[in-house]
Amino acid sequence: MNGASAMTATAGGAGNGRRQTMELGMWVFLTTETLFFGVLFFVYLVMRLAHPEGFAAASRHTDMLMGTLNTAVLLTSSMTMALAVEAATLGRARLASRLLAATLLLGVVFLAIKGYEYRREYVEHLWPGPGFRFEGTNAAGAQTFFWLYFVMTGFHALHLVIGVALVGFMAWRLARSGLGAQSAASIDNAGLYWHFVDIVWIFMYPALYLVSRS
Amino acid sequence: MKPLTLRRHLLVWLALLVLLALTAGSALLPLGAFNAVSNFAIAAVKSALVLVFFMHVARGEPAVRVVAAAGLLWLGFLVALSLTDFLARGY
Repeated sequence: MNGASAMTATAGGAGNGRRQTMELGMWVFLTTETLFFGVLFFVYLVMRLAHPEGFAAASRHTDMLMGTLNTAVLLTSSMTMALAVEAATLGRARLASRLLAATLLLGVVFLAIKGYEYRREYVEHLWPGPGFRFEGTNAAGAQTFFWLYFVMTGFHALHLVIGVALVGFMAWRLARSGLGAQSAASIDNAGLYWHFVDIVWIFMYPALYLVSRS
Repeated sequence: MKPLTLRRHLLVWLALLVLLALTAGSALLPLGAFNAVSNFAIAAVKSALVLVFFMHVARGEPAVRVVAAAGLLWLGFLVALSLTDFLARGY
């Protein structure tokens, strides 16, 4: 390897070195995100140990059918995203663009279903605060559960909104300026972020919807 | 045009949906503490499928695996050391 190509490998234009650096950067970011959501799950664990009955009773008031459906929607979106990344890597711009659009659509469907659930929970007085109503002796634990439910799903939804915007931007740029090594690497990174948000939901689903269903 | 590895992606997706059905179904059975164990074990398996087949964590360069493992390791420290306090409080 001569001096010039060693330079390209490190400073690398849109070369492979740059792509690897971008990917590593995304993984470092996702590590900080793991710790962010990890803290929320830790608070959840401590509160669930403190209020086992309140959490069990409150979790039965979440919409299991919608939660399960939403999990399926998000898992499917991860597959379309993975296929979009592969299409972009193979240089198939049109296919990648369509798969990104499908991913975006599934993300919006997820957010719409979540919004429907939030609305129902509002009507049923399950939003924590002065309007919170809960039958039985476990109201304090149940309110703690719903406080965590809204904080956790709210932060997850915020991440998904960012993911939808990111995927939309990638699809728009692909349609406008075509596919280069640079945009393939960006789509790869958007995919890593999208899958991470999916994994967060994979753990929120049993934590919030399945505490006590039997 | 090079074809996508559609078959493998569909198989992983199918496995994820089967695991989802399994966790939703088992949650309806009265298994006591095993309900929570199986729910989170299945979630871990689903995450592993996403990490390996969609995020290609095993295929990437070693630095990626070091970073991913470090994240989980530090999260483990955070949870384990904090629990020594909360579990000592008697609940």
